[in-house]
Amino acid sequence: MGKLNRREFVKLAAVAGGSALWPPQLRVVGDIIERITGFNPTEPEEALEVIPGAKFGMVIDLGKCIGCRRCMYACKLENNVPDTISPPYIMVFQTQSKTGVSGYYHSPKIPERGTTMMYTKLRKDKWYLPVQCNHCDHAPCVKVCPTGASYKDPDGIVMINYKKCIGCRYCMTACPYQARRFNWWEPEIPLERRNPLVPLREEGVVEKCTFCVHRTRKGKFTRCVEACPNKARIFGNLNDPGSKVSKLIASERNFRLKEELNTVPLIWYLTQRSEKKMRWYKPLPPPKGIRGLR
Amino acid sequence: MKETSKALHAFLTLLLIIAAWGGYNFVLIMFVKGVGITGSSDLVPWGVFIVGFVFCVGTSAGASIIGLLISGFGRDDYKPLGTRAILVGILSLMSAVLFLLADVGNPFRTMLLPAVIRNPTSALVYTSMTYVLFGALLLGELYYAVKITLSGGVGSDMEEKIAKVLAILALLFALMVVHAPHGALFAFVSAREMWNTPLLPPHFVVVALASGTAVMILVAIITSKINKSELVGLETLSHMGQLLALFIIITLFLDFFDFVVMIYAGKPAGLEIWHLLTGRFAPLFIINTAGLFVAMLILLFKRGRTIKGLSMASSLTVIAIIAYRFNLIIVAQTAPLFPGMGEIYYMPTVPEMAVVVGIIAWALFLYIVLIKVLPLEETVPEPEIGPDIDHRYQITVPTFRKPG
Repeated sequence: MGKLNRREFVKLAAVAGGSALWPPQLRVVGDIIERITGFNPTEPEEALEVIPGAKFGMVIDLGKCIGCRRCMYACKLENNVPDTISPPYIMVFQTQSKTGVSGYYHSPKIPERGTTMMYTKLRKDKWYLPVQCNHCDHAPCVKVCPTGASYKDPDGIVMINYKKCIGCRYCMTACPYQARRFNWWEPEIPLERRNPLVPLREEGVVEKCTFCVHRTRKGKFTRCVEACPNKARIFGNLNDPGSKVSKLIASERNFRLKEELNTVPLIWYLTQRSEKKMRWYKPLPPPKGIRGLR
Repeated sequence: MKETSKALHAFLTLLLIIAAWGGYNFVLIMFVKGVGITGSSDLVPWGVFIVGFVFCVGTSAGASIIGLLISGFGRDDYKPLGTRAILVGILSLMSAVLFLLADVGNPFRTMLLPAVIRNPTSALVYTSMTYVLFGALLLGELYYAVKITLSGGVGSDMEEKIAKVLAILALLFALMVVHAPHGALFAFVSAREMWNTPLLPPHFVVVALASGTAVMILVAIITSKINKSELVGLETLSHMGQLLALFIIITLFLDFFDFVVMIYAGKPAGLEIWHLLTGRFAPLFIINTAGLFVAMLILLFKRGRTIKGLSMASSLTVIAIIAYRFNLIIVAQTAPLFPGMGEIYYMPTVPEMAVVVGIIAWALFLYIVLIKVLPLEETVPEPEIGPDIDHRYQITVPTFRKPG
């Protein structure tokens, strides 16, 4: 500092100030700092290759949803969600047809009659609304993330790089769908319950629904779609006009959650009451030793 | 004299004990157990740490503005407050950063935030940069202030010039850059009705000015009381009171239209928040608005601007502004995002409050110690120049006041 005269100092300050206005330049500085300090948020190892030309979307048929919350259970098991995170990635709301909205997801009895897992009948007086990450095209969480840990992939999935996340929780306050969860505690999952395809998160990072990226990018459906007993969830490629999702969006009455915020969600809800008879299936007993699913 | 020093030592020890308790919990949150032991949840992700953080950033900006008025607007009667105000600014900024580090899930990754722009669209990147720049400006200002004081109140031309330029830069920075982006940080969140208003950045600036002025009035009055000599005259204090009244009036004005627009527009989310503010959180809302209103009434009349009235009004303002931050940050999050989610609760836990109290105690401790150690304006005695003493042989020796 002693060797710098004032003019040089001013020049240096100008360069520093200029680079602040030019983020790509500063990114190089950031890379160097990351090299030195060992803080190197590389792309996640488990990142799978994006299927070119695909854009995933989901349709949830509210007329078919019976509120059994099998999607919630299945998602929790599939994605290694610890018990400390409650509710898991999917919340199910209960609404009453006549009086508007009532009930809420942490009610111990949704649906009200019958045990949660055994309930199989479609009710005429109740609606159920499953809510999860909408993988918005204009995602507010991606916009506000200070480190770029949340990012949008070209196939429409909003992903989180757990190595970059600083845990500031700005994204959680910014999400209009209450879709993000924070690891308040060290997540602990018994070895026999772990899914090796999904990475375990550390304490102090944010996580959420990934549209089961480890399945969908290999051409499978998401776990919640597979788990739905009444086929209320339909998953597919929005870019393909022949896919079931595209056809349903084009032909059926539908809406998206909080469209007025212009977040452009990728989950559509169909509103027509389905008159088809309920498919019979064998009710599954609730898995043992799982907590946090109230 | 001895009694006061004894009392002071006892007070400092008490502060250190509280700070140590807070520090223990801080370490617990940062390294051992994680943020899980706070009262925050997935539904209310931001808790009292963010309240404290925003309040401290505001106070930092406001207090330094008061301290820099000498250079900016030529108010020479504020001179004794100058260095103290800069010190308050630096220490509040430090507390704000401590609050932030306690709040985030990954403190070590966070420390790199100001250096690495990974996402240019995030407001948090720019606010984190402002702490570094503002802290550097204030430290430079403090350095030159101390240096000039050490050399007998008059520095070399160069020093005076640098000090002045730094002061003006810091003043502009504090007014425009430091606190407004924090308002924007909240205003950008379109999901929360209470935050998503363009009124928020100017509101934050005015509230920062109010809290900074109130804190500086309290500092001036308490210092005068301890030293048993006036730090600044009653006229200066009265002027500060008038300034504070102005800031409070603007705050109330903005508040009024904020709420009126929210209720009048009649969006369900806005009505929900109004329902919460007048229902479950009514005590806080009353402390906020009534506190500011009473403080304004006290300050508006000349009869109220006595030492007693000023200290009462300033304390009321500080309490009301803390309540306002609580309303803004926590009540906005307890309004459910989906109808029928039920009542969302937030209650700070004991470790959380320990950290909050500890950080404040630590800042107070540092302030008292630094005030004793650093040579400030009023501790340099006026050179006694009698008529029969030759000026050429008069040497002014800077004296350090010993602690106690």
